[in-house]
Amino acid sequence: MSAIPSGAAAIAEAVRAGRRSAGEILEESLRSIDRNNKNLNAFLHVDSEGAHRQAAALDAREKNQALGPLAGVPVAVKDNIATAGVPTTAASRMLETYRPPYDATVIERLRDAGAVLVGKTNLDEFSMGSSTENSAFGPTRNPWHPERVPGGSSGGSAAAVAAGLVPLALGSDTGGSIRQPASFCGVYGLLPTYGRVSRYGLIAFASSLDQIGGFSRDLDGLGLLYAAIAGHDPRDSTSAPRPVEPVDPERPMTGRVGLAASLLDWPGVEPRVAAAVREAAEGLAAGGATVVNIELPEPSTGIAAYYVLATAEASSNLARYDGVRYGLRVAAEGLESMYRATRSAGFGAEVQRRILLGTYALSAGYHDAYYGRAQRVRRWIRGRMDRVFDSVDLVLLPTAPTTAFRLGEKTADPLAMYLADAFTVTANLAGIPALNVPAGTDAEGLPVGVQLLAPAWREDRLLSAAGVLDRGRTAPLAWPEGAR
Amino acid sequence: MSISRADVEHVARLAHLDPDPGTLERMTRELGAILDYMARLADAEAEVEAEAGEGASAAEATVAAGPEATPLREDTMRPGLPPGRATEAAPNVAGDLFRVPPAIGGDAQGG
Amino acid sequence: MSAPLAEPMEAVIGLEVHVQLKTRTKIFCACSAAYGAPPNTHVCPVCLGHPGVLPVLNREAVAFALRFGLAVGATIGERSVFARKNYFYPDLPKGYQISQYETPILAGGRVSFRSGEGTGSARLVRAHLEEDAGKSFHPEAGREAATLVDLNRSGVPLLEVVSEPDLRSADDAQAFLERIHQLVVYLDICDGNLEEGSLRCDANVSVRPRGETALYAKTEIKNLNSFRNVHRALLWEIRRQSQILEDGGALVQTTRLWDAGEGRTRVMRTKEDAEDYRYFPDPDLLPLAVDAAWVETERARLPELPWQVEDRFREDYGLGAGDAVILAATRAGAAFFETAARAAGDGKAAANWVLSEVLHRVKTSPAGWDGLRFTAEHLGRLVRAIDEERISGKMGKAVFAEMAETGGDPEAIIAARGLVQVDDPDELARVVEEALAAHPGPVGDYLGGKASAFQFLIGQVMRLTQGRANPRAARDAMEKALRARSAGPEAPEGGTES
Repeated sequence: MSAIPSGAAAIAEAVRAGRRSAGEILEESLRSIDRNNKNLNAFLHVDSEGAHRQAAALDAREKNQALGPLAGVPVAVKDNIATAGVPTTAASRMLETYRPPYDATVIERLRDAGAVLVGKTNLDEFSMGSSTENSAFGPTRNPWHPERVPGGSSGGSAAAVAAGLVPLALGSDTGGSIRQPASFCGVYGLLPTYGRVSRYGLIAFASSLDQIGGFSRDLDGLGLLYAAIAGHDPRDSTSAPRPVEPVDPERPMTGRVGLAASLLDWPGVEPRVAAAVREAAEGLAAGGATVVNIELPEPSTGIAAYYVLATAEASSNLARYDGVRYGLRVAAEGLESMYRATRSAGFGAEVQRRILLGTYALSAGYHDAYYGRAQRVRRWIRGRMDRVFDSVDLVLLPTAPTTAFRLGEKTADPLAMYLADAFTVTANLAGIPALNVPAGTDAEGLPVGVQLLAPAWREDRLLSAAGVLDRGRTAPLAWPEGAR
Repeated sequence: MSISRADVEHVARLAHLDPDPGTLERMTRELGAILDYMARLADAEAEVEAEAGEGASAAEATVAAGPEATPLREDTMRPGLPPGRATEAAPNVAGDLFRVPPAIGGDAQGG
Repeated sequence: MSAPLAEPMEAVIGLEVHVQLKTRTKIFCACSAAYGAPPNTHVCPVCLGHPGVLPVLNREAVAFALRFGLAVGATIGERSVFARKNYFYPDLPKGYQISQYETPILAGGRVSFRSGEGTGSARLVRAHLEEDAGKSFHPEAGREAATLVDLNRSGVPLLEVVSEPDLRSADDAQAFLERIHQLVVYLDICDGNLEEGSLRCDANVSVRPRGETALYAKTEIKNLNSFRNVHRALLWEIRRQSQILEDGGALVQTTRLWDAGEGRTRVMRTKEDAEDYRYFPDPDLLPLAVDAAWVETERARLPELPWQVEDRFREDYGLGAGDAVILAATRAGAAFFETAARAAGDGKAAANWVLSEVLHRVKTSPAGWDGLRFTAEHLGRLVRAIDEERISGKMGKAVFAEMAETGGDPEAIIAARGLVQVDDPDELARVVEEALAAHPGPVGDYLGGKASAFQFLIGQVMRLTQGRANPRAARDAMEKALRARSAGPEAPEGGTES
């Protein structure tokens, strides 16, 4: 029997044409998950029953019944996205037994596109973290190296795609939570423009920064995933009522690319990372773009603004976890004791730390010095990025300063962990789309990524530029040993 | 601008968290370090003001790149959860009502 | 120690009124906002505060707010911002209430009300939109104590109206509140049902020596749910605070609850343990934009406002101020009166009938104006029939009684009961003769100077005509007949006046 096609586009085409059944594609994926998940801990829950039902429904369709663009494609879902009747835990004890009574909009859209949702992936608890070590259910391991983190917070999804367990996975990105794990795991990771993808059903961390996006090993698959989930949703008031322009990795990128060269000298940037960015600049130039040097706002400013705003919003968004209507409750004599006992037991240390930080930033006497100031600085960063895009069409910079660090390496120092987001928070603060492009591996065999930023609504430029880089690769992308 | 243990206790009360003394100690240190880092926001703001001279208020803080004004919904009913569903997954119920321990003494009194 | 002089004290009162808007659906989700459903059946993931849900604003709630703003002359914000008010309570699902803080939809405005014999008014600070919380019950005490929560009400739209501390007495505060109640029912933005909590009031009250302008520490009294309780609580609190000041003590800012059973306020919390709500703009919503076109659309939808109706009733129908206020109290009542007045062609008479006969029936009937068996048109025509002397006032009362019992057109009832007045002079002359003949004693009394005998004789004419005699014509006939008698049996017919 010929090999199962790889890549979402090929799978969907084969299923639509009737050459493959959704059932056999699913079986392949489930076998893969079964073999690897004990080691990786990428999946918190495999919805075998639900997935079989979805695949069977696809395979039962009439001869001339059209199937969607993702027909039969197995997709993993980060466990902070609501899937009706299926556990949605945000990797937290607080929601360990929670099953939502509704589907997130992106879930409905994936089903409509014919995707087969196989399960929920691991994350840092409530998306707070950059390594997936803050999960209440154990860390996910990087498929490239078992002692390394996959990145975070969408580590489970990134690992699942890198290890070939599924061709596509949904993630969410608030300060880098798609792009950084994509970089650590050697896959594409897309953060769409803020407002491009509905947040209805995304368990909120920081409402003005969160966006749902996705992971793929290839650009065609990424494009299909993006097209399936993007677009206006009346249930999300921050969702943009604009049409979704098609993306095409084949279209050349001949505009101006701004290289944030000074960032390559930022403290902590590994030489291999800097080299990858310079190689990408050369690759884009060879593809017809003009590369110029630009200055971006100082990263530490962005990190400070980001952590004040994100934690402030989070402290409010997580107030609903009070043991009253769903989730964990720790019994107590009085109401206040119940609240405290429940929240102290239900939330891990990082979540509690951020809630305290955010509460402080909003509290009387500190509100303007922290929250007010951070808002003003954010507005300034947006303005700066608008001006940057007056002179260039894309920005090129590192995704993360390093390759995947070791499990336990940064857990003792929260601030050190926060600084890993130095290059990713800018996109969220400015509300612009960004993409991690895998760029080979370092001497230790760990993936390196480079990041592209585009102006709002120009996801098409990101995929075009990535297409140029992809076609210019001297060697095709490799996958971890043992992976499909 | 460091943070005192009393500050952390106050904020923990506002956030309805109850860290044990050891955790409280550690959090105070960690938050202090983080807040010291955040202090660079003051420098950044000075730079911002020098550059532009606009004083937008935090009240206008919609920084989404999306639509300018909040969308409006027609006043048309859609059925919600079927009877019984709302309390199905609740930790403690009395019939169709959510049940919680009583507020004791100076407990939460509502807004 | 010498006690300070007891100076005259002045009360300084401001009210915060929460008006539940009668939209079909909740403010941020499409659940029914109707009252009275079985617990936790008008709920969805959004108003239950489930993980991942988002709010979407109800256009009608905004429209209702705009109408209120236009009616009170408020400034309408072109852009207003929703903010989160963060606190924990079991009936607050998200752990925050979506409200408006720094930039409300309405600013300023003024509301006038009856104060003593004249009018008073109070300025408004602002009015804003927010979501209601659910309902908590505390059924038992002791070991089985618990709080039970119904979230049907969670998310129902509220308009919070805040007055300046312009009110100076419990009476004025009550009148202000009653005017707000009347206005929101007139505007059809609230059903005004106090028992169901459609209007809730918090009062801020402080006292100071009369003539001073600074504000002393205030007490906030929460959740006053009837006009009477507002009045009682304010009186009690004013007395409490005055006593403290007179005794040389100092007032402390507190929040108190009114205990209707005990007839006193109790401390809920002091300023020290006041909540820090940590307001910030809700990032799940964008600013609310209201343009001039929308404002004009709502302006066109305004009904005649209560004070406009009162003024018009005084001017157009010549009614006194007090009567105009009563008749204008509700739109239904005002419309009823006006239709009756037009059908009668006599505003004052129609007003008297409505005030004396109709209002109490409406008040005591559960169906209110809809429970009347007759229409305003019917009443008007009855009044006209009396005015035109086709029937007597006494007959009119009988017709009305039948109309009220069984309904029906007054003309039909009059005809059916043969109640048309007798005013034919010849017929009345005949009846008068019959009466005089039957009662020679009273005739003699009258002729001998006893004026009261005249009434007796008229009464007999009425009895003989079953009350149908036109009173004036009957008097004329009686006088004529009695003059003829006094002139003596020899006097010629048509004798001269004596």
